[in-house]
Amino acid sequence: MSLLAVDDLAVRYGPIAALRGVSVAVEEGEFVGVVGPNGAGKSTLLFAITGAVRAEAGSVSFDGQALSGLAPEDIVRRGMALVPEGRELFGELTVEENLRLGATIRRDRGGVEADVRAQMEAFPILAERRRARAEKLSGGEQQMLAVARALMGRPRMLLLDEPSLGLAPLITRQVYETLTGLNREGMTILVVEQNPARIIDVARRVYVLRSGRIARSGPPDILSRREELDEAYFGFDEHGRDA
Amino acid sequence: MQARLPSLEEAVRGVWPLLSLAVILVVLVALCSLGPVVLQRVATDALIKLVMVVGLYVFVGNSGVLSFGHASFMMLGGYGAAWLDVPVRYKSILMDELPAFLGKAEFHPGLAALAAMGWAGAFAFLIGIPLMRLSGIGAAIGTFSWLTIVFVVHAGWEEMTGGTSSFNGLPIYVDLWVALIAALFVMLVAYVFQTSKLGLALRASREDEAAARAIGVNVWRARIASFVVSAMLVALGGVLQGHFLGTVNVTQFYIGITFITIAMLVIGGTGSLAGAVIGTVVVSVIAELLRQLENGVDIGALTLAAPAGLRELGLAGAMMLILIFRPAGLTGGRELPFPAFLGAALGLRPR
Amino acid sequence: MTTAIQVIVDALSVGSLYALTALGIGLIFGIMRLINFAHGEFVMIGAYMLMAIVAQYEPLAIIVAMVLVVVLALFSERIAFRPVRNASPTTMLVTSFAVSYFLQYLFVMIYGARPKGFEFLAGLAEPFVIGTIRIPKLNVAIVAVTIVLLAGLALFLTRSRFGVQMRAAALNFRMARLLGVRADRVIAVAFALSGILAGVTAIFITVQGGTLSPGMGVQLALIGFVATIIGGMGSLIGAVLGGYFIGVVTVLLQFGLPLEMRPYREAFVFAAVILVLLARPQGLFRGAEARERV
Repeated sequence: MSLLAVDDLAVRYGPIAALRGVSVAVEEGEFVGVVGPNGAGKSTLLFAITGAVRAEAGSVSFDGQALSGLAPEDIVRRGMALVPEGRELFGELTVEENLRLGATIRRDRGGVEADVRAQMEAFPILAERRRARAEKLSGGEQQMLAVARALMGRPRMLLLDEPSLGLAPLITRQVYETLTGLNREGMTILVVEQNPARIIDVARRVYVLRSGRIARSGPPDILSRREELDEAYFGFDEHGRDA
Repeated sequence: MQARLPSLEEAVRGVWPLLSLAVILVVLVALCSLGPVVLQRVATDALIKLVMVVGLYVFVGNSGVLSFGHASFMMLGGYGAAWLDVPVRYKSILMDELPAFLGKAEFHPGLAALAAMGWAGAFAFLIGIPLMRLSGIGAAIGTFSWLTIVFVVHAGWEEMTGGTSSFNGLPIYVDLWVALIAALFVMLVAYVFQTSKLGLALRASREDEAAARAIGVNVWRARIASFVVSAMLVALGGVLQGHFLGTVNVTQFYIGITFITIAMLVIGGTGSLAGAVIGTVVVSVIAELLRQLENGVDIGALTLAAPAGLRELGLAGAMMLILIFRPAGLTGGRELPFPAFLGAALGLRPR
Repeated sequence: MTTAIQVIVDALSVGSLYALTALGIGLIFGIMRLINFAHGEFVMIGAYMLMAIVAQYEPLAIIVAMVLVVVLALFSERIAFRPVRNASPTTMLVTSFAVSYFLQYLFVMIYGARPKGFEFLAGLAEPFVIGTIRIPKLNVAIVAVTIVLLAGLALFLTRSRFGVQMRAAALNFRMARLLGVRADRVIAVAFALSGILAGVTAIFITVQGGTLSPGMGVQLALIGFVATIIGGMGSLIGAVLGGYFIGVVTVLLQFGLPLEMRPYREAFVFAAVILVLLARPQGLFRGAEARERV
């Protein structure tokens, strides 16, 4: 049984269909990528999984339990954590406050303290700047903080939306090294990216999302076959790339 | 493209939303005219509210921007007309500090009403230039601030307004029929506006402001235009109110009337002319029933009287229920549908 | 000199009341983008509750009234505001307008529309006399209690786990929820805090004014909005500063305006509101980068 099973999910913003019949499955311990052009519905997919936007039809289940109708705060308690596009740190709060907010769902004070120390060891820059406002960090540092914050909730599965957005190639590589490291230790990961090059070496499986539908899925080497990717990105139907 | 006359079908369908409401209103008023004088007065008052609510709708309904400031235009209209048409013999006694050109003026009430509408419209234009740049909460607070300014100035400027005491002596010419004609006129203006090119552009901006800008709608200008038209119609409501009661008072045109008119519009549905009209009719009926409860109802030998305040309480309660359970209002923001049987009777094809 | 000190104390105490009101409105606005018109009615009802219970024992009246106002705030959230939580800010605003009206006329029905005289904590009306300076004890109490409340709230918001969650929710409600912050609880606590602030304001307004009427909260709520706008909507510090700013300006205008201009004092205040809305929507006290999504 898949850890995360998204089945025939549909989301609509007013008259615009953002997702139409999307099915995605992620096994425990897998590293799965979703790629697709801007506006394909990638962020919507993650928000719909975590309950931040309401699905019109279809279902999401996590660890065999249906999530439909649950509020985001209840869904994250089941063991999922989202690192959204653009990080969405609380800019006016300090680095440490941001980090601790990641542990909102936990009751074990001792464990939280230990994890705060552990994250600060893993990302020394966070220890150095713990009293600084989060908005003062650089883009790469912010991304590290966002990942660390998500990990503070001790999730079984991490969902990331464009973790490479706006980062220099070197920093992007660091972020992905962190993710593969986590995956090796058993963390299930679902990453959404616009740029397939980031995913191709790290993901075990990929989905290609276009115009709110899954256009392709399979092993990452489907992304290296150029003509298939072109079709996915630019499409041969009348909807065009931003449909 | 060659101009052609609209078919009968198109003509009937085109004016149906206005025609249907007008017929309903005329029938209701005709029924009320057969009743006792008290009922006629209640109906007249409701028609004056209708003028105000439809006037408010012209701005709020078409632009989607909420205004808490329209009572200011009722005030400008009410006082504006009073300055011009209160007979000199009253003014020389009651308002002897008025500047000479007003103290000596004695206009025909119709002319005074028109001038008052223009007076309010001019202010709407001037204040609309800055205020119409705001949307959402900013617009609500900005318009409310404007109302407070107008209230404070009218309440404070005793030589011109008599301050917080009433300005009396307005010729009483508003009866059921005058109010009905005014209501029909205002509905006609509102309907013409909402189906005009400008009105349609504004309604597009209500749905999606960015998209409307993208197709070349100057949202700011369209909003100013509707704000001015709306203010003039609402001012007519203020004029009628004053010449129905024979008096104007600053507290008449402040938070109370703001609440009542917004409640009527919200309950009926802000998005359509039908919403404005039906909201006003429904709320007026409920308010009148509650008022009678406040006055006491005879049940056999017993007289049961509800405490004062029940009317406002019921109104606020109804408004909350609508906002919670039917946020688009009773009409759902739609005009009255064209009934199929009528189409059949006129020999029109169904669409 | 003597007058100067008295004017300053006056301005500070008036400003404190406004700051408490603005903070009560600002707390809720920050989290759910709701401008709560009914905050003034929370104050009004607190004052009536004091009157209803005072016959027994004044401290008891204070405690019971505070508890009742907090319960009322929570109740209004549950009944009226929660169902419209996801509607547009304008719809929420209209809803709070309706709640405000409802509560006002509920009290018209119970107590009648006429103002009622009511003396509470009469001892506070006497002044401290230091040389030639006479400072009402009430004013000192208002300023002192406000400082304690503000400090307590600041500690709560910065030091407690839940306080940090509230600040996070005010900055980015969706993200806070995605980290597990419970929306219902955060909003309920915001209403409860706003109820406490309204309760305290009710006590001082009652002692100061000595009369109660169902419409007494309207004026105060209006000043509260003005303060939050001038301070920048969504900023709690801004709301407090805005409150004191209006307090100082009001007192100065009272002293400084020529007699014939005094009736128009509020017109100047509201004209300033329009100017701030247009020119500095982020408020007077913040940089342009802090511009809120208003």
